[in-house]
Amino acid sequence: MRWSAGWYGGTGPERRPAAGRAVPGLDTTWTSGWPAARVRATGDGPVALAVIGECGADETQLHQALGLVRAKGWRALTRWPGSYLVIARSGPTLAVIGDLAGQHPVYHRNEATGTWWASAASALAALDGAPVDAAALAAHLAFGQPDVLATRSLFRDVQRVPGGHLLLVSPKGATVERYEPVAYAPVELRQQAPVVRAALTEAVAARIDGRPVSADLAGLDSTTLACLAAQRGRVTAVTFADQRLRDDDLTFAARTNQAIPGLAHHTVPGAVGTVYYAGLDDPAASPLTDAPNAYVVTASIKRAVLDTVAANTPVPGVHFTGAAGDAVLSAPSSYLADLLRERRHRRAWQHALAHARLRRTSAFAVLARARPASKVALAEAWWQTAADLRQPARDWIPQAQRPLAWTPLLASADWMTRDVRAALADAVDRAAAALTDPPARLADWSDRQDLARVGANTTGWRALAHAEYGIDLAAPFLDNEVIRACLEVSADQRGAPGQYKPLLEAAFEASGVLPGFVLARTTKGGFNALAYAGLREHAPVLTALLGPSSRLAALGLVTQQPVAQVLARATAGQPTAQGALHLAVAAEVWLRQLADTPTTWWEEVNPHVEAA
Amino acid sequence: MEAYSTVRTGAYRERLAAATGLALALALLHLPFRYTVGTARLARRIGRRPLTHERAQALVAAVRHTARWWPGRAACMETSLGAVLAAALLGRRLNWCLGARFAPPPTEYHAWTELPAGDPVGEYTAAGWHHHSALTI
Repeated sequence: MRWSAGWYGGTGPERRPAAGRAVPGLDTTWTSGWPAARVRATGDGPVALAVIGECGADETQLHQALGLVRAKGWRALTRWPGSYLVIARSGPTLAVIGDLAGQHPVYHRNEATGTWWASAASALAALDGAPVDAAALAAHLAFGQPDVLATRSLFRDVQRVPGGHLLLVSPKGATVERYEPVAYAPVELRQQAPVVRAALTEAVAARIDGRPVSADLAGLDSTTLACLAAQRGRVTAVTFADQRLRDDDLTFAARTNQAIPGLAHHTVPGAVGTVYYAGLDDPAASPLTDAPNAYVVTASIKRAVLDTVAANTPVPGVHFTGAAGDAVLSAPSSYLADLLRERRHRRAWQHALAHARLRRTSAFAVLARARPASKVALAEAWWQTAADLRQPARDWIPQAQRPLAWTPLLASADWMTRDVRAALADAVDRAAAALTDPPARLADWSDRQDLARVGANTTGWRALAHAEYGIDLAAPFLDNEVIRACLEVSADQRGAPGQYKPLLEAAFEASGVLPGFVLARTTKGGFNALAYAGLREHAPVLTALLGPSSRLAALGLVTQQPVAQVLARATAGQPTAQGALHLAVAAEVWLRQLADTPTTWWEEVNPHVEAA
Repeated sequence: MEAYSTVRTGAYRERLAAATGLALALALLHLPFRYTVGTARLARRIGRRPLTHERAQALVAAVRHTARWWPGRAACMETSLGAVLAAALLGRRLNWCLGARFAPPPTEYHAWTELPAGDPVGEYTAAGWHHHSALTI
């Protein structure tokens, strides 16, 4: 695993990351597993700056940024293209700044003589074997929104830096400080289109460094990245095309390949084994990650794609994925609640009509779904959520039939024991009481939460690509500047029904980067067929995984019966709580990996070596 | 998939028939189902002339487009019946099918229109046809 860590304290630490390399210019700061080219540092006396990861700043820009560090203009250090962790020291103050999507999370632990920080919570937990925090894991399963229990990591005694915040350590101790506004001042879609295009172009350029380039060529988002990369050289483009999917990805990919000269297109045929939930009988087969990640469930499909990439590139290179494109370029229909809250009834009605057609229901039903959430602010919504958790568990109905909510309770919340639900309710009540500067609009909150979730999951895919293939995964839609460019357009413009991803279309129309028929595309492939096939095929494995020997069950986080019901419904081809099961399986695999895969995180510091 | 249609299709006569057909269908579906079935059977007797696949597509799409302003439910049941009635108003014939769709999962109840020769119209059939009709009128 690639991670970074540092110590801030009076006396030197007794430990350092195993196989850690010191970051030049910053005392007691290390990276582990990162290649030297991805760790860049500069300094000037008491001022030092390091960026770790894919950062588009050149040496000159980094050096000039020392002035920003001196002035403590932290946010300006997060504006280069790419996805990276920033460590900045200005005299006695140390700032550790992650990214907006949680690809580079920051955790810390406060000890008597100082503070440890790290980009991996498991590493900090391993300092003294701190156990998993059951309530935090319950929140992860029940909400899928990382910032509800904002400062609680999945381990006891390890603090998390919430999204949009940075860690500041000074002689007075460690604090977190917000650097990203809760919401952006909205910009008109047309006006923002060139900004989005520039941000995406730079994000792609920042990752092209002479290594072979490959890309998914599937949906609108990945096709955009593939075409942008093709402007700079040859791109090995791959399309996963399984007969069972019944989508038109391959048709569009073939046409795109004809129209764009730089692409070399390869089809990845589906096989019997490329379904969801394959290969889970051996949790040790997936690379260890710092948090549960959804890609353990779809690993067989990702491996099929990466196999094709590896077979068609001379050496491992960079692989572009359109992950998170949906999260930043469109918006879930929850913005309807904001339109009602702001009394923009006419627009709410027009949008409700269109959403009603998409969801095969009536406009009245769509608005009725949005109304409850439009009447409460975030804190009140959490008190309601806590009250719901103290009620008996609900029977399952599709999430789309439940009212919209700031923090919807997923079906997994109904699989927990009463005690766990009560403990989670207390934690949510405390979170509501401690809430500072909550966002006023539901869309601003849910957009960031969706991104953080996708970011955490993509880390798992990145780990798989790197550990098994040596390929670096690039997910430009998760970059700070791309997120900012897209989310400055309000959700009701991004998610306007009747046009599929209008922001992308406005950004690239008549640009010559993308063929017109791609921008006019209104379809999107779905993986449901493979999800159901996997549920049917691997039901025995899943039953064993979440059965009596399950670690989630030991923590009271799942009970037997609901899991059996989900599998029975899936086998019959009926709709079921797939998302909740997906979350639970990922969490169970992660817990088993933690227990069964001994990892050496730290090594003793040998003073003789240090002096040398 | 029934999608939200933003494209205006069909000639003026077809669009007029589509609007009338949809209005009739919406009214009929509020009555007991035997009247709905009776009317659909009547529509088959009125419409005798065959319809080309292309015009049938245009007609089905025109009904879906007309449905964009209707505040109530206008999903597969309403639009497919609307298309059958619209065809009848033009003296043409389409079959009305009620049944289930199996792929992609999950299985769903579905309604669609077919040409008398048995080709589904306005349905996504690029990767095969995985429907089973329980009632064809």
